[in-house]
Amino acid sequence: MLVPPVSLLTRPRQTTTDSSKPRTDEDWVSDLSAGGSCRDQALTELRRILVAGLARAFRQSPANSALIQDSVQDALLLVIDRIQTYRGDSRFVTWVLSIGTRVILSEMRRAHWRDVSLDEMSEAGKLPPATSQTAPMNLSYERSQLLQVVQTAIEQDLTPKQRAAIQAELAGAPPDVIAQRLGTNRNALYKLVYDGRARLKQAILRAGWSEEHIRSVLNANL
Amino acid sequence: MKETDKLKFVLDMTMSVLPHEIGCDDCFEYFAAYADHLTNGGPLPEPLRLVGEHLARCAACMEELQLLLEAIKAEN
Repeated sequence: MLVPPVSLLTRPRQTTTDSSKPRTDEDWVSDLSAGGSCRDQALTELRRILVAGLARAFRQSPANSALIQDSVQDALLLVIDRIQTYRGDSRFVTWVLSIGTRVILSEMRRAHWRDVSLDEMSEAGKLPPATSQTAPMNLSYERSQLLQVVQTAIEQDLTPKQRAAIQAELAGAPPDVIAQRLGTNRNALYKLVYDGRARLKQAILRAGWSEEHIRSVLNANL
Repeated sequence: MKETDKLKFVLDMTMSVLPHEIGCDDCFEYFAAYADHLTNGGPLPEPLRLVGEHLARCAACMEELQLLLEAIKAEN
């Protein structure tokens, strides 16, 4: 835990649909945990807030209103399911919007990468061997040497899973999609990639490249 | 991503390894608190610093944060 749980905040933020009475974060939790019309009213209000928030956030993306409506429904189910995990260290509505944002973004990412296999992602993310004909023609000598060291480290120091995950990231694949392809979750993927990054760093340092030298090569004009 | 950008990307992600990092799901646990702090201003509490460090490395989580901050604006 990074932040110890704190008591629910009580500052007013929202108003109920049937009165001007401010709805506090504590009210939200209480109303949504209750049954009957109290919960229904809170859900109606929360749905309105989610739709407005997601419509604004995704107004410049391919998310259409049907996707937003579906995602709002999924997000509300998650909110109800996880409401006891709300710690009160943020506004309740911010917490709900964070869930809604992740739901719709995950759906969009899955749809975008639906037909791309992990092998294809990994292949697309491969660095070219420094000596190959596909290496950029204007690659400086030092940069070419550095590329070779990194390429060798990727091939020799990573496990197949680490290599596939890192190269998929290099291809621009988002972590939720890579995790899904690997049959794992984002935290486990992060750990996998973290261990791979640490191995690569050790290999690069072992090859005699200092961080300062790498920076100077990367910052140099091609 | 261009080949030269790939080299920079992989070196950035490699050489920035820190002893203590949090993953995407751990970051998400504190997303809302982090977003509220950004919205309200003021100094970032020390524990949320790890969230900021993760965001600096994780483009996917950064994208989620930026969208969340936009969503919050709809309330105002």
